[in-house]
Amino acid sequence: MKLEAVPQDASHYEGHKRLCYATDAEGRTVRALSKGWEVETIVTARAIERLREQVEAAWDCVDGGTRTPLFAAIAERQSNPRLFAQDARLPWFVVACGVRPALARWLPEFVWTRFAHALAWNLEPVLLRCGATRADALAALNPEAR
Amino acid sequence: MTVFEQPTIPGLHTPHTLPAPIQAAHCESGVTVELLRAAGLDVSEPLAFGIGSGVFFTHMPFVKVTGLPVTAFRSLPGTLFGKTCARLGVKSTARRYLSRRAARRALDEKLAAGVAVGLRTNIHWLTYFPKAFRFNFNGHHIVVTGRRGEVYDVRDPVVDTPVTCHADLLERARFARGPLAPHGYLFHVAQSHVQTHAPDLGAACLAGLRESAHRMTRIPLPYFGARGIALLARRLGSLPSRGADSERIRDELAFVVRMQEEIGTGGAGFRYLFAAFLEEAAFHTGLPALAGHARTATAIGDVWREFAVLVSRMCKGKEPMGEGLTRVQALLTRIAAEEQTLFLSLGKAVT
Repeated sequence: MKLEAVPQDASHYEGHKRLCYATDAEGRTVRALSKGWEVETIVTARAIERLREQVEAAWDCVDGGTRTPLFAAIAERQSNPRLFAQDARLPWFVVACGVRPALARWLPEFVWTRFAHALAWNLEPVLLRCGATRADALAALNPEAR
Repeated sequence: MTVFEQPTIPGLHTPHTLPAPIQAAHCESGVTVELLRAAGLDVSEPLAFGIGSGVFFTHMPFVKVTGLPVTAFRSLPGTLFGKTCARLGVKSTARRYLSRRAARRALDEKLAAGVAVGLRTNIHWLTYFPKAFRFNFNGHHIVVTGRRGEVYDVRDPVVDTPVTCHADLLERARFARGPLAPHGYLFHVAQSHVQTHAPDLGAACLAGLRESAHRMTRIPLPYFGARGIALLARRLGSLPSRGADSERIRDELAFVVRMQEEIGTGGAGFRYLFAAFLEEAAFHTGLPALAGHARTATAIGDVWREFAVLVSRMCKGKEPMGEGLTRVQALLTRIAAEEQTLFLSLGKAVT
């Protein structure tokens, strides 16, 4: 890549610049800063879109009453019930119960506290069992609020 | 556009004083440079990357991340620092932890002793990163230089400003689960290490090059090195006949380009960074032929970028799927052949 061809396109960098390596007029490799590359922005946007679709599908399950808000909160964290069980340091079947409304109500309170801690959930843990909305999840899972 | 000068010849700093932070293209080689500089040894990012044999390629269709086959353009995260240190004759330490409390205590003790510490983290929990890049990826490396109450001072080489991280978030980042789970992975230059003489950079470059050339051409499995690129070309070309729909094909292509361009590679899946290393290695080893190899590596990088542009056009629907896939296959087959030739030639040049 020639130095003058280092892309300076609109990107997801939020004003940051990224270092890359390019070739100067004498053919030597030099360091240059890039504001972003359209190609990278396109593939990143596609990945974000896929994640958003997964989260939307999870909330649809919650709205349809087949899953608890815990299920959607796990999806918001880009995780899945099996992986989340490791984060929460609980057996996988406990999380499997936690995401099903019919079984979730039998789980004791300390389990919900454990779920909330593993998710870095800033609201009442009981909301993960029922009642949490997308707006609640956005506020409760925001690590910048820390 | 800011253009920096070529890296300088290594010199010596007073140990345990922290030089100004650097910005790097790639996290692990940037962290390696930061830790070596803190210990008194000034090496450039391309040198750290090449000496640690960072360049590689692997495509493993049977290992999936977010449902897509793993493709990587570099060696396994966590290996670069140890190899670079060993080849430069620098003593280093690395360990994992079962207990979060023990991991935090070890980190605080090192910081109190004035040691800059490298950590492997999950990027999802690092809130100073732009939100679009905070995916669940467990292979991001950072340097922690100090602690002020519940906030750690962090030098993230791929970010252009000094940053901080809350203790709770850092702990979550260190103990995230999933593929490449860091388990509190902590590494640093050994406290007993005192840099008293300049290392033999020529020998270190040759050792790094030998391993890279071997891995890119000699591993007798189709998933690694130039064979892996050829496998990727064949797999992508055969996706329609194996029942994959257009969206699935676009997802797989986009994932390869993300690995190539997004995750701090310096452009073209580390190939430009490797070219910069070859240029420096030509100087340190006294082998001017390596400068010619650097030009070849840059040219191969340009083909990787051409591939990325083609994929982005396919993702936007500007390129017909059938025709696009044929071109993708042709480009990747060409890259596989050129990388095979380059690394075979490099192997001969350094033995």
